[in-house]
Amino acid sequence: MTGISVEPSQKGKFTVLTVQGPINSYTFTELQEKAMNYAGKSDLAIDLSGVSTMTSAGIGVILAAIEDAEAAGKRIFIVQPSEVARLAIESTGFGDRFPTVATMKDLPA
Amino acid sequence: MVAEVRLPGGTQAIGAYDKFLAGIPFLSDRERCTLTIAGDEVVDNLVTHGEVGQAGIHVRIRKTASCILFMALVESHASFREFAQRFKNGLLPGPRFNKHLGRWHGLGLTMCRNLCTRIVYRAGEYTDRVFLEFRTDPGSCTD
Repeated sequence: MTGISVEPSQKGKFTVLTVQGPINSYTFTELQEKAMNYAGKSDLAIDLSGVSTMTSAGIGVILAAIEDAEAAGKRIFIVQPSEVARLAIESTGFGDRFPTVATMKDLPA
Repeated sequence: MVAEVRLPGGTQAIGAYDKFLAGIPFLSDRERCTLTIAGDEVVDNLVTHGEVGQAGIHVRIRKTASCILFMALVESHASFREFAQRFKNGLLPGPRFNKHLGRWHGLGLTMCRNLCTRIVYRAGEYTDRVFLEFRTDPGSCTD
């Protein structure tokens, strides 16, 4: 199976996690470790433009990161989700819980 | 229009399913995305919560002008029978967060319910089956 890659970088006040590849039961821990490392500690943007598939395991990680960020008063955004990531988020029935921006340029200052 | 594949058990199953989907010519992009999300969820759960036998998982996708049927067949397993019974009786709880494990549960089923027009889990003596039904994208079926 093709693996996942989660690369951290910095854009202004935001730590950006750029995710590439499939997010499922076998790969989500890579995202979980890095998301938990930054969520609630700094403003966080999760770039999902390169996500090829996404199961509930990935959705759960992102929801937990959103909750951690909100509890700590930090900002968190999903950036440019791929079509499959966007549909996965929408399919939860509570897509409005996922603050999303269309591109990296749309992140607030 | 029909496509079929036999997936291996274990960690290779989801990747093999995604590769199979990528090669089906009669799906629209949206149908492929929907089948990726819901199918990955089913295959993931069959592998993670049950025991996939030597025969692996047989997946069949059939598209008509009005609907797409996804079917997964796997060697029968007690945990599937129990799950199917609870599903049939409406006893499965909604999405919930397990603080001890740091994981959400029940999200996958919710996602499938919202993506599909019908879900059936049918436990059998030798074979268990999962059926998912989706609406066909208008204009995407030329049969």
